[in-house]
Amino acid sequence: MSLIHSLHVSFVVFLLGLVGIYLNRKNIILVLMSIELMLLGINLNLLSFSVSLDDLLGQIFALFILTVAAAESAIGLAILVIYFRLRGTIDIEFIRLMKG
Amino acid sequence: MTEFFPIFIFLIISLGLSLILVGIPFIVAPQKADPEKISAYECGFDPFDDARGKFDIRFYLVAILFIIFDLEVSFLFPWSLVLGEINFFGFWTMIFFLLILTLGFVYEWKKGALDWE
Amino acid sequence: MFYLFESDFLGLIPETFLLLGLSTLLGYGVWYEKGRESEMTSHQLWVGGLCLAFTFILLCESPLMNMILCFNTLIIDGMSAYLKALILLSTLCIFGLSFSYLQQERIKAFEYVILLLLATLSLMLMVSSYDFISLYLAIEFQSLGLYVLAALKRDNEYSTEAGLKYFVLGAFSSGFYLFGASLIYGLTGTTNFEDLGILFTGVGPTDLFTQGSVVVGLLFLSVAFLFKISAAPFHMWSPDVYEGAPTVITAFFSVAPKLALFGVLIRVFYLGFFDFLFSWQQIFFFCSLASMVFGSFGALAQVKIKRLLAFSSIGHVGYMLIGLATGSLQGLQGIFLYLLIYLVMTINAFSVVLSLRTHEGEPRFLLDLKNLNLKSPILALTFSLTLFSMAGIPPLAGFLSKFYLFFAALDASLYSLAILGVLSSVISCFYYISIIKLMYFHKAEEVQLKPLVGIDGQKGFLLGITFFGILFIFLYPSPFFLLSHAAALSIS
Repeated sequence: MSLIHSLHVSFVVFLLGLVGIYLNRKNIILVLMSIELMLLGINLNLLSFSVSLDDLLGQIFALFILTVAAAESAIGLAILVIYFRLRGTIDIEFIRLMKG
Repeated sequence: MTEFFPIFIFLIISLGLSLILVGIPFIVAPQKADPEKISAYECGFDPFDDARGKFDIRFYLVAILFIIFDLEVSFLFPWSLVLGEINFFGFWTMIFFLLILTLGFVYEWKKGALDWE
Repeated sequence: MFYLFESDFLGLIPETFLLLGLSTLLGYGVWYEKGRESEMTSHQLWVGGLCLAFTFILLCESPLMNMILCFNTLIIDGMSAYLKALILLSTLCIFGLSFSYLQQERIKAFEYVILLLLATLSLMLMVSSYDFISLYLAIEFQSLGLYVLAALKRDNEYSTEAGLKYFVLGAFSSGFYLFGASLIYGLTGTTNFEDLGILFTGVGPTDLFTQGSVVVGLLFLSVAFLFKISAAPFHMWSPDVYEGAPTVITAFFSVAPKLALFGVLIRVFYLGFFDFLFSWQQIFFFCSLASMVFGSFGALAQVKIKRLLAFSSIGHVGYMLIGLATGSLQGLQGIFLYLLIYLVMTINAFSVVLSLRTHEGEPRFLLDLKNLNLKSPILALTFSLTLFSMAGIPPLAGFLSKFYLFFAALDASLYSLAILGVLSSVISCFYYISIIKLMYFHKAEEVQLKPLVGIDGQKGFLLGITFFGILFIFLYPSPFFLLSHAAALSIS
């Protein structure tokens, strides 16, 4: 409809991802999913700006972000796999070997 | 908006049909749970162990490699559309990009990530 | 069409050489790995170091001094040349430190060298970037390599946990950066820093549109960068990551990404958003105060060496943010000078920590430093003088850099920053001196002290050079003044 409504949607998605990292009490997979949600919200943001400005740059930026987000989640999952192999759990409570 | 109306009808019909197909047996059929009926089938014996196997890590590896090369292909699509306008320079730039990814491919081949699957 | 981009390749010669070099190393490593696992890492280290040395030479003899490349996405100027030189030097030092470390920790993965070279390449691209998109690609490039490096020791729980924490925080801060960048793009229609700078000329603090909306995007951007350089109040991840990661990788973390990120901060805020000075100056003012305070007070409570070094690096970032908050040429020169001296001090400190290895393993607690004077008096002297330099005691290098930054802050009327800087230097003096007391004056309880494993040639050379630098930069600082001034002038 108008720019502001799609900005609302993308901002809400970004906030959901942000809050998901913080309020997470279960496991790390939720953190990874929340990071992907944040990136999704940002993509929506960029695309709606690109449509309203009638400029292609936003869509190019969104394409690059998509690619990098996929590669980043691949590496994040790989690190999670080696962590799980060593610890046997992905519970958030057990990631306190180093205090703070 | 009016051109999307058939899709809406389609959505309603498919939703309704699937709900009916799943819901009617759920309501009509008798449900008397018996310990013998609902236990896992293992050729007449009692189950020895949990039937789930350990998730093989090679599935994950193949999925990740697929994602990386799929993103490479997703860059190939717009390039192929505008190749007529970017002439030789665009061609050789994309070849350079593909060469870097081929280097990664050689690395993973030699490391044995593509074996046994 | 081809001739429009010819000079782009001339400008990117160092990066292209580094890319081709590391591709060759990767191919060589993976093809000939079969029979020679034991020597492969040292081969890669030597050839990788040579590759870096050649890149450094190519950088210094580059035919172009000031140029905008690749369709307004990259820029080469004095600051980028200076920071790229520092980044290459820091990676060379890390390679020097890794020879014995990889052997003693029995890390046989040659990909360590490849990942470090990739991170260096990305840091060089980060410093040259002139557009939000190229900056994002360079940041992610660097981060992905460093996530893997932090988790390099796969059978060590601390290392994998450090990698996981670093990954979550890095991805989180990249999300913030992207949100800020998307807001700026949406409000202005451009992502190029030069265009943004031109667009925003004449914006005053009372202009309602920009102060309302662009400042929000600016806030997200600055928070993202402050996360990445581990400034307080966004510093909670760095002690854990620094403690868990392998020590050589911790040394790389403390030095190289900070160099590049300060370059990025200067480019974004001095070139792109200089007219919003009154907004971002407050952000950096507050974060600089918080970093200096948290850095000095946090370090007082630490009992592990690497966490102490992490907190001291948070303090150093606080001092450098003073220079960023000034908005003046002297502040910029102060930052560049401080970065150079910080590089020298940190490499020295980590060389000392790496030299303290005994047969049981490397030192983790501060108490492992006790009675160093009896075990190796020269090492104790080196470390104590490095700690004095970090605290800012007069005839050493650290004093020079802090002195310059505090004068720049006073000139920009940021009096409270300068006063608090001096106060937190005094507080940090306290814990540095407590370490020195531990080394020299601790009661020798046990009869036999654990002997240290020897220092190899490369580490000894690095120790010597950095120690020499710390002692004598104060006597002849003018070449460094000239370099940093030239770098700063290129921004104005």
